[in-house]
Amino acid sequence: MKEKTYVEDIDRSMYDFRNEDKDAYRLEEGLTEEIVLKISEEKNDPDWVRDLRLESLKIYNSMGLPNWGPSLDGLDINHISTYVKKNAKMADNWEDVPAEVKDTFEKLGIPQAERKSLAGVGAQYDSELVYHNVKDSVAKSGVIYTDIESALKTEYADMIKEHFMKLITPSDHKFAALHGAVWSGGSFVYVPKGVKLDFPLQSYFRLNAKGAGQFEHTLIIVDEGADLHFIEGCSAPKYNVANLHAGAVELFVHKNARLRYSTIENWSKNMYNLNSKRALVDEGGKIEWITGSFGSHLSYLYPMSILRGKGAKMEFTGISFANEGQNLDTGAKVVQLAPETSSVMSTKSISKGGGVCTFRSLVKIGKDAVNSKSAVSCESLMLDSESRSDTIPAMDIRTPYADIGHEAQIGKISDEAVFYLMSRGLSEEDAKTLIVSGFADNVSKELPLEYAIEMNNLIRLEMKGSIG
Amino acid sequence: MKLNKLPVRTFNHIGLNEVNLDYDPGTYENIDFSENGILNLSGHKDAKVTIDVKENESLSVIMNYEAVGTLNVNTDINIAPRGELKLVQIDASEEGNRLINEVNANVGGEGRLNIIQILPGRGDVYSGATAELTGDRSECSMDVAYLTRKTQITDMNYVANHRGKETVSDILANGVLKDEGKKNFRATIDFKTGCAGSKGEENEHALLLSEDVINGSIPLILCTEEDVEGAHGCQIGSLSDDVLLYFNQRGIDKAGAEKMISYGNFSRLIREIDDDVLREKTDKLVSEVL
Amino acid sequence: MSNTLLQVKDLHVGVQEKEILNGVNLEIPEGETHVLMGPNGTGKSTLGYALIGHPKYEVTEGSIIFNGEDITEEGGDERAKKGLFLSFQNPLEVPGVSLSAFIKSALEQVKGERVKAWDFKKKLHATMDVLNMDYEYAERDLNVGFSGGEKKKAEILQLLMLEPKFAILDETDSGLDVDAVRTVSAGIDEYKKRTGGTLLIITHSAKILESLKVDRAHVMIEGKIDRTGGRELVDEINAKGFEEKE
Repeated sequence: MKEKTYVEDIDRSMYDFRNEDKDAYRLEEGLTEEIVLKISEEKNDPDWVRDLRLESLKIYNSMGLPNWGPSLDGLDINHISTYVKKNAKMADNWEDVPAEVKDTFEKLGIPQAERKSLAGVGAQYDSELVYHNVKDSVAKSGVIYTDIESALKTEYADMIKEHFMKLITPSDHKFAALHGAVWSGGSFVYVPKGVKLDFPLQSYFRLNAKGAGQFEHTLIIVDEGADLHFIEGCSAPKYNVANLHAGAVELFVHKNARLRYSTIENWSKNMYNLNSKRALVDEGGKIEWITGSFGSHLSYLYPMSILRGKGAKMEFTGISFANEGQNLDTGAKVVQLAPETSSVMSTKSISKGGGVCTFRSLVKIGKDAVNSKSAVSCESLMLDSESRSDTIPAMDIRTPYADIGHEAQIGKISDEAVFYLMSRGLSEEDAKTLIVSGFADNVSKELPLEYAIEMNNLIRLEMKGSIG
Repeated sequence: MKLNKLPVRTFNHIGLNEVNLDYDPGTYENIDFSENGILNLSGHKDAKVTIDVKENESLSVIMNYEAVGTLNVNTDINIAPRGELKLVQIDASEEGNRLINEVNANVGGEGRLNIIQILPGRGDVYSGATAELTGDRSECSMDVAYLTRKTQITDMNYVANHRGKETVSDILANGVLKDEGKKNFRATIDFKTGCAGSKGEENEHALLLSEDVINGSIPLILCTEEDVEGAHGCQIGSLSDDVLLYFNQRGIDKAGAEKMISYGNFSRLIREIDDDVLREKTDKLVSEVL
Repeated sequence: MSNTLLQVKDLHVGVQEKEILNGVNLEIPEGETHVLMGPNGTGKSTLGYALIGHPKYEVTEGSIIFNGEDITEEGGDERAKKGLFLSFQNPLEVPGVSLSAFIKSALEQVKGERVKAWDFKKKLHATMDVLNMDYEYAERDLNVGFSGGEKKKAEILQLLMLEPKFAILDETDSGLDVDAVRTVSAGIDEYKKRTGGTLLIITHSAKILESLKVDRAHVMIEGKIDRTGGRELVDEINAKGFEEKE
């Protein structure tokens, strides 16, 4: 397969291992303590991080793969160390970036300067400049936004230790354990009490940072009464030679705070996206997830929100578009543990060209969630009969004093709607594209304008089938 | 005994992928009941019932269960093209008994299958039905009314597999949970490739009346065919303020409203029992329980 | 001089901290037909809800005297048993309960005794005839899938079957709906014929009132009764619209 060729060709390692270690790798089937210790050493980990890595490794080795969801056969699980070795290595050379990826940049109108940085080829002047400007405004507001590894060496080390992998624990599932063992890079954001940032923070600025990519860890703490909008990713495909993404995102929303976490995921189509995302919301707090999933070959993605404080709220707005060769298994989970909590999920999915979209959710209402509400609505659009769309929602309710509603719909693009648009001069393809973009507006209207435009461009390209 | 398996597994920690029941079936007694009438199953343990509906034939069958200990009934239905079957299954067991009730049906072209299950909180119930809508324009409906009370478990699994063109399915479950009742409702509408023009709907209303109940619901829609219409809706909780206000203004208090709605779920299905004696008997049984 | 059936004294009613009725005074003698008119959003429906004891509407001041009894603190179902009835503008769907079962149960609550099935069915069908209602509606789930017109008939059917002492008809949305107007008119005629009861019709437009014998009309503006008059007030409003008196 084409993807495998790329992996084998670009064999450069971030870690400068000695020869005898290379032999050790060849004999190994799985991840070893040695490899993990090496990583820890390279990074100069504090003791607790190293210990957490080792503990996670033990858990990883003791766990099996999930017995539900899309098959992970294509993932070279027996040589997982290879992914680690190539960790965060994007293409070293512009020439090595696949043609279709470069092509997409072109079609999406991504500026020249940004393309190379997105491909991880190297820092570009313009993006560096932009980044620095943002850095100043952010600093002025008192918000801390830095890479997590450096933050471990500052006065925030204790704060990080208190929160790191406490929400997503290594024993949650095999890839959380993997993450715990080999995590590398990522962002740390702290918004102090009462601070409301009036522009969104974008992870894109950190793309070039050392260790960005596959196993990155995002830790965001929004303190009491504060307000933050954080945008992760962008619609341009993120190309990575090693095709496993097992990152983790931990979000802590304190009393009366609000966090909006927007993601446009468009990993290149060879990618296995096994990201874990979780939010913990305290009294009066609110978490808003805005998610657009377009890329990856295969994904398991269920942002989970734990509403533990009275009146905590969760809103989840998502769209997934699975095209040929893709299996996107996404959804959301919410656990409501306190009175007067509420959750709203609005998701849409589009399946085309043999793609598979699965919406999988869980709404768990605990005994104490008196006077709580939950409303889930999911709509699926089938664009042909080669594709697949599955809706698998689950509800576990343990109090009579909650109001739970769920509705789902599946169907095809209305012929009348297409005919109507065609009668106004649009081609059939354009008509369908317009309808699908309209279908996706639950997400696009929640994004800042430039992201919404990029997302619509992305949809247009997916409809034309010209993204490789 | 593994029962009520979800066609597609999901998160294991929810515990709803299937049921592992501590029961080993013995030898099945074979019963052919391809005729109109009432089939009483009382002294039985494991029964395999076959209902064959011939072309253009229309049958109305009532299965009245009076379990002693555990009653395990497996019903196989075959409906030939343009055949029609109305099957009403009633759990009239003595309290404290257990019922395992599975139905597998194949419906031919333009055939109609109407399954009605009346489960008025007699004991633990594991009930389900799977219909293969094989023939073009075949239709099926699964209509269930249940009451789960005391420490009972009501575990359900309804599957409609759309294979033929322009097939129609309708799954509806209306129920009430009281005391420490535990209920699991699984429903699946599966649109297989080739079932163009098909429509499927699944709906659930569950009224929760006590603080110790556990409600689990997994309504699935699976689809590999473009030209279909699938919809699912569910409403779980207690009576809304608006509904209570309406009843209130007509002089009916909350308890009265809850009772009326609980009874209403059953009375609608009891009307479908084509036998006056049995209909009254069942109505009495339900009224007593409520 | 007939008995005052309903007396509203300086009624202040609010919803979620916001005051909507600020000092309503109203008297309705037994057997009369009164009309409450006023611009949109002025509190007309609120008065109806407050009279029947809607939990969301809080009485902050004043009182409601019904048939000589102060019912200000009483619950909705108690008031219903005493003979108060409200025909809802947009009645809810209640799956699982048939229209006839609902009416029968309500009747039993109001009468305080069991109703004989056969007599009930006879009366129900006779009443459905008056409203030109297909008998099959009786067995359908209450309001489920009913069109606006069908819901209206279901409400009026309940009015005629329950025979309350005092009926409030909230027709604020009925406006120019020809069918609704016809149903309500027929319903009012039959109600008066059967019981000689007392009516308060809340309406925004006068279409409903054309063939009706109106004893008194009240105009509500900004949560208070602005003017009261006889039939001629209705005609005046139709001609000139609503304006506060100088």
